[in-house]
This record gives sequence, structure tokens and C-alpha cells, in this order.
Amino acid sequence: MSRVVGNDTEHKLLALLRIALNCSAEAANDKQIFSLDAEDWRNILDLAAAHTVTGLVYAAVKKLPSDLCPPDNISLKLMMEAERIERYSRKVAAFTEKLVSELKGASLAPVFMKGHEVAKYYPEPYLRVCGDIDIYFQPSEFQMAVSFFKEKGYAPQRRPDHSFFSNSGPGIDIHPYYFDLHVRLEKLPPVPSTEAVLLMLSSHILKHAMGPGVGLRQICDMVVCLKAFTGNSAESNCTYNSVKLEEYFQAAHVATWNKVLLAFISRYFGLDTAMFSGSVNAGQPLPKKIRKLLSSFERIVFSGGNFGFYNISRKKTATSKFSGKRKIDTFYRFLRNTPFSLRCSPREFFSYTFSLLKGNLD
Amino acid sequence: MIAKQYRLFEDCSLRELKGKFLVMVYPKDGQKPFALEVNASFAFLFQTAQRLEVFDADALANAVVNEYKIDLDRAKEEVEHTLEMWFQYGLIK
Repeated sequence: MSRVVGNDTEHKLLALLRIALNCSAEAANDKQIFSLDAEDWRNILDLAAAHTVTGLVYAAVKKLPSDLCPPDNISLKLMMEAERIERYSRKVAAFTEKLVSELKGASLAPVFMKGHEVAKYYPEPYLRVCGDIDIYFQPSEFQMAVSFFKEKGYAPQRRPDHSFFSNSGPGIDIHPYYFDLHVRLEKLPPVPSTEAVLLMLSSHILKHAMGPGVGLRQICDMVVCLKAFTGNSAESNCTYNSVKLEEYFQAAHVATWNKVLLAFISRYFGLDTAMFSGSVNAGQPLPKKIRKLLSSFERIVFSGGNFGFYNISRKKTATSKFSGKRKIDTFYRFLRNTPFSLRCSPREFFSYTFSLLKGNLD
Repeated sequence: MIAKQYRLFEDCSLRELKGKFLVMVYPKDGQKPFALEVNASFAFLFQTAQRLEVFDADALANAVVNEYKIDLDRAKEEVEHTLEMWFQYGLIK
């Protein structure tokens, strides 16, 4: 696999992620990759934390031979962090199970999105760092669902994109739209379906790449789903209709973007993405346009970390007393990524920008 | 005097990585969680205790004899020492 990332730490972290997700044809006992000293490991763990993939690093280290493992003090810290991640994931899973039961009792049909939908496809689901719980409700149920959460004391607050967010418990995001796309619904796959999951994940990554930033955790989500839905995983028997999926990507005007994402996944996770609909065929050089967009996407991923918080300027907004500082930082990122966004999906760029502006002005 | 029947403190877990063992304890009285790095024999007894749920010193000693092939008296000594340590750390009531 050609090395195109910016530094050695990123290269090593990606190698570990490939092992954790069972993507890697390379041996876990490859001394060339994994002969690391304490400082190397600390750098890897710092980067993994920035990308919220520490649990996956732990999963990979478990597969390494003993002589390639981190030094004892680092191993112990990694174990403690893995314990924290897994414990929290189990707590959220128990909370979600109870919530589903209550929602169904109220005749509501929740559809889980993003992390909580895809975690089950990971080799060790509880090692995936949990974020907010994202739940979609059909239009006919959405207001009822919001009322449900209000009555239960979750105090959901409306957001510019018309979703509602509650920071009670693990954080719950209630969505009126399943897709982060500005396309007529009849052109998009039915929800729920495997095609819907792939399109949702892909477009979600695009939106973050356009704006605040996207990290390796979101990309790992896409990787595990691609593996699961093409029968490359023991975790799922799902499949998808590749012809229909390509039609959906075209209809949503994100086919170019999806080629970029699949090229990134092919390059850094070793998946043979030629089998995935819409991908550039394996063995063929990437078209110039895709190559350039891939390079931009690499910059976005490796400079931003988890939703951009790896970036120093973004970190400062979290502690700033000026509440608008985060919005200004987000605006700056939008501007900086405009050339990339326009070439990936001009329609989505303009639609998304307009809807965010409108939401903030309402 | 150590009570005859024991139960592991409910909220503790054992994790192993390449021969390193860590017991995590989450006290229910609001105290901060803590971790103990332990050895393989401690971990074995801990796992046995988890499997048995309610246990006494003899049950643990018999498990040690079967696993490590040592005589029963020595096993009982090891178990008594371990149980006192668990009591000290709040792992058993």
C-alpha cells in the first residue's frame, strides 16, 4: 500500500485500524511496521484519542505478538481506556434498549442512525467510542416523538437543521430527516435498508468534510458497513443492490464524492472497493479529478480529527467565552474547504450552506 | 474473622492484555473508581470467583489445586492470603 499520509504516526495508526477491523492482509507481526518505542506509542495513542479510535487500537494491540506490544506502562493505560470505553458503550446500549422499549410502547418506530446503527458490525462493538444517540422518526411521527421526549423530561432543544437535541443521559439527537441530503425523498432509498445506511453514512461524512471536519471513526463506520454488506464480514448477512445504490448516489448528486471516499478507504484500509458500486475499478489509475479531491480529503481528515477538534483553532473554541467563536471557526472551515466541496458536490454545498444560514437566522 | 461465604463486589471487572492483568473497581459509595494491576494467580482466582458468584475458601482452593496441581494445604494458604487482600481492597463483602 503506497504511503501517502503526512507522517509516520498516521501510517502506524492506520495499520492498527486495519488490523482491528480485520481489513489487513499484512501480518500483525510485521516488525517493520510495529517495532515502536514508547514515544511512538504515545504519539499513536494521542492521535487515536484525537480521532476517537482508541478502542480500536486496543483491539489491534490484542492481536499483536507480545514482542511488538507497547511498553507495560502504556499497555496499562490503554487497558484502562479500553475499559472506560467499553463500560460506557455497555451503559449506553442498556439505556438505548430501555428507550426503544418505551418508544415502542408509545407506538413510535425509531430508526437508529450513524454510530448506534453501525456499531453492531464492528468485530468488537463495545470498543467503538460512543457519541450521541441519533434517532430518526418518519415525518408522520416526528412531532409525536418530540412530545414523547419532552414528556419524559429530556427537554429536547431545537437546532438550526430542524433536529432536536437533548443532552440528558448520553445525548440524544432526534432527526426529522434520515439523509443529510437536499434531494426529493422519492429519489432516495427506503428507510430502513442497507442502501439507505450506506448513502446516509457517505453523505454524513461529506457534510462534516465540508464543514467542521471528519475523523477516522466516521470512516471506520463506513468501512465496517461496506465489509458487512458485501459479505466480507462475519458480523452480517446483509447485502445491498449495487445497481440501485449507484442510481441513488447519482440521484443525490454525490456520486463523485462517493468515489473519493471509496478511494480513501481502498488506499488506507486495503478494501478492494472495485466491487462497490460507483467505485473506480481496481488496478486502474484514479482519474485526475478524483486524485486531487482525494488529496484534499486526506488533508481534511488528518488535520481535523474528530469533527475537527484535533485542530488547535477548533479546540480553542470549546473553551472560549465568546459563544460565536465556534460559529466563526466553522464558517472559516467552510470557506477553506469550499474548493473541495464545490468539486465533490456543488448542489449539496449550496443547499447545505443555505440551510445552515437559514437555520441560524431563524 | 473472615466470613465463610463470599460474593465479589458487584461492580468490578478484570481485563487482560498480553499477560498483564488489571482489575477495575467501581465503588458504589461514590468513591473514585480505581484499578489494580494483579498477577496471573490473582486473576485466576478472581475469574473463578466471578464464575461461582457465591463461594467459600474451599471452593477457591479446589479450583487452584485443579489448575496449578499443588497440594490442598498450600492452595488453602494462597486462597486465604488472597481473600484477605480482596477484603482489604473492598472486592468482597
